[in-house]
Amino acid sequence: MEKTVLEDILPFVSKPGRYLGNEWNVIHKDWERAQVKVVLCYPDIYELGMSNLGLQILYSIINQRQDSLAERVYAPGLDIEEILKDRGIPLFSLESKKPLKDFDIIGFTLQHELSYTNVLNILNLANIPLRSRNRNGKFPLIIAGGPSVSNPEPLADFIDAFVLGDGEEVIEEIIETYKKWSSRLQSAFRNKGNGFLKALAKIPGVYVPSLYEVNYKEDGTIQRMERKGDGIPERIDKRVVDLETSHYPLAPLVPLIDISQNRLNLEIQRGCPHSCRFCQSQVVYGPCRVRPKKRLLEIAEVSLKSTGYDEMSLTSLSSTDYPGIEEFIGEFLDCFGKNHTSISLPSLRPDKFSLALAIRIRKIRKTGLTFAPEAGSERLRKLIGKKISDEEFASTISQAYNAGWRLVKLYFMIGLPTEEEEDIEAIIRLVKELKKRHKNLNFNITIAPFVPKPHTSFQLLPMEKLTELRRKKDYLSRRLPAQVKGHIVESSFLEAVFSRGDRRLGMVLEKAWEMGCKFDQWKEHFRFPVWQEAFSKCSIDPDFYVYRKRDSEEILPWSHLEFWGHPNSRMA
Amino acid sequence: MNSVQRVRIEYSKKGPIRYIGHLDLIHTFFRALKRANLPVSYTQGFNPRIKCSFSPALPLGFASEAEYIELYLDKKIDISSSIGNLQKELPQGLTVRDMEKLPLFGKSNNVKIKTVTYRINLQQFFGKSTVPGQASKEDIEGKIRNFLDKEEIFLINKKGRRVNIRPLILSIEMEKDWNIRLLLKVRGGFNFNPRIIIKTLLGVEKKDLAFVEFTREKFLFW
Ligand code: SF4
Repeated sequence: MEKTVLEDILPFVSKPGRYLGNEWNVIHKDWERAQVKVVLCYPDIYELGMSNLGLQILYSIINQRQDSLAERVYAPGLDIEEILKDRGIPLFSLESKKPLKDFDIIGFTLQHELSYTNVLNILNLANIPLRSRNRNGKFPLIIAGGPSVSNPEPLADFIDAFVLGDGEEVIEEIIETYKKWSSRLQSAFRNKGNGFLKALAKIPGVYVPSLYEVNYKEDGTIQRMERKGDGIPERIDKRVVDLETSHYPLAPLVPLIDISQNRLNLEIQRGCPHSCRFCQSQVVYGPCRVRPKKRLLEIAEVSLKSTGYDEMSLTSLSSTDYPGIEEFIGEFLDCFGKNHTSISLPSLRPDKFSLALAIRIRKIRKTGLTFAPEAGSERLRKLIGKKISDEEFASTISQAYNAGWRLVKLYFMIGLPTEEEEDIEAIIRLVKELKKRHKNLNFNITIAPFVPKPHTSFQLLPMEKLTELRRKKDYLSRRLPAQVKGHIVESSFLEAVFSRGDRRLGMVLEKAWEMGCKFDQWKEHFRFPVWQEAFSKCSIDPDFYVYRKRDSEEILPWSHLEFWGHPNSRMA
Repeated sequence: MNSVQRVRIEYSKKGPIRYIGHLDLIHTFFRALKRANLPVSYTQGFNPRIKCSFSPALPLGFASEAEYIELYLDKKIDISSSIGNLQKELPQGLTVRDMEKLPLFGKSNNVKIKTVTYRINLQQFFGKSTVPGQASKEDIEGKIRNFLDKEEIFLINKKGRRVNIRPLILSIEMEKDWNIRLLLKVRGGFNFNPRIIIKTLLGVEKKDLAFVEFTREKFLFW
């Protein structure tokens, strides 16, 4: 697209800053000289996508290669989408403003199941056929990675290859393979000789769904997952990189408009040393590995300079578990604190140690305090693997109060396995007790339905019925002496369908998208009745995926994908 | 530390960066100042911030040749090398035009501004506008005359209040190359977006103004 065409569009969109591609540290490479052109796509709005670290890492790795370039695209807002459609302009990348179709590879990151309609919408806006089998070699190779790839089956018909686990190394291997084949790719490769796809499938961690055929039993469960030909792996193991040596961007993109995480992200640890039984993140990002302190200080120094950020977030699933975190923060503040740089930590564990750190950090800037006890009763917390006593939790909160905090955010789940009325009451009791002790302490409480996820200890269990979840949520909202935010239970239901769904759901996905569903994770766009209609039009019963208790012998849609590796092992 | 110097950095804003709003622009500058390693002063207190003031907010989409920042510094700097240092760290479209020393104590220019001049270019507007019929230069001049002949022109300001803006308009003139020059008094702040005035003057819808190019040219102190 000519840049002037964009100039003609910008006056009509509400957030033009999203589409400029002029972030600080943006990389504009010579289009003609790049052998492999990749566009990285985050299928949600710019403000979320720009906050994603994984994309920044891949952007940097690919652009470091002489032979390749990486550009970006995010889900366009509804207003610009209308204009693009009206004027017949295909969706373009932010850097060179080239149509997505002109790239060699499109790489999606799948952060959650409710972004799947956006994936289809983006392909459509790019004038790319949705289904892999309808694309020949003239179209880009479409790959996807990210946490939802723990069960990518609902997208199996649309994505050419999925990437399991850490992307740092495998992306380069995919580019190398693509290069080897690129001369031959111009002749339709996908539906005829699929040598290229087979070559991709040989890369560890790469799953090419079209090379497998799924057979179903009469009861709807999977009979067999059959490989179409030789040399196709029976099981795909996720990739795990060594954080001591793996690539980290030293000049990350700095947006010129505000985004949800507008600070420097320093990933100090990947994976989590805890093993909460409901938790999919530890499986997806594990095993727990730490980035060495020395390396972190080097990264911090260079990237603070290259970005000009004055705040740095020490990110990981459980940052306070970083070995020697206290000394690290101390050293960090010694090095950078005098330069008016502050540190923040994402959600804290509800224990004293974490709080002590928060107090330390707050010396420089006030940061919010967020805890996720997840369940109200000690019994249930123990069952799900959150080992913290009522007593310890209460005294942590008191300590926070004494240190001056007046607002604390809490996360609870409802519908957990074995949950009884008593456990719901326990949430209320817990919060009331804390309120009694500290009258001026206020809580923001988020209530989320428990969704059983693949590769967790609870993967075979049914989700609790919507009616029950609704009742519990309403009850808690009424009874809790706090500001309560509840997830839409229907959207958790949809998440439950797709997180443990199989390939047949591709049909529903396409139907719902045709009927106008997109941005499903946004309250204002989520339309459950339309989804229900899509299910019924495709004669697929969502309850089958949500409420059914799986047998331990059952072949699950993700049985051939291996995420565990070394459970809870610590490599550092 | 105490500030030892105050400087005014004058800059222009052109091209796509016009679509970065005031607040975002402030953060962009803060980061650029940090990257350029200028010895900026910070405010005291719990939430230290860079001590400075920015020229009045520019409406989204407007270009400007008149923006400035007044900045306090902990150390004296060499003006000419600092211009280059800062320019290197600014995104495309933001250009430092000048940097000058100011008395350490003294009022900010912001409070002295009495009038602003805008240049409004209609060339693109007539090329792409969906407004039916082509207007001639004479048509526009006629519209300007009619507009200025009125004694009262009531428009809705940012705060949603109906205000007579006629007294605020010092002049509107048609110049060459389809440029209109507007001199606007600022009384009680920058509550008036010139876009509303031009929309009323031309008698078009807001969306038709998309291709009218607005440039803030100058702040005047009279
Ligand atoms: S602390 Fe528990 S819930 Fe949090 S990431 Fe680790 S395992 Fe998951």
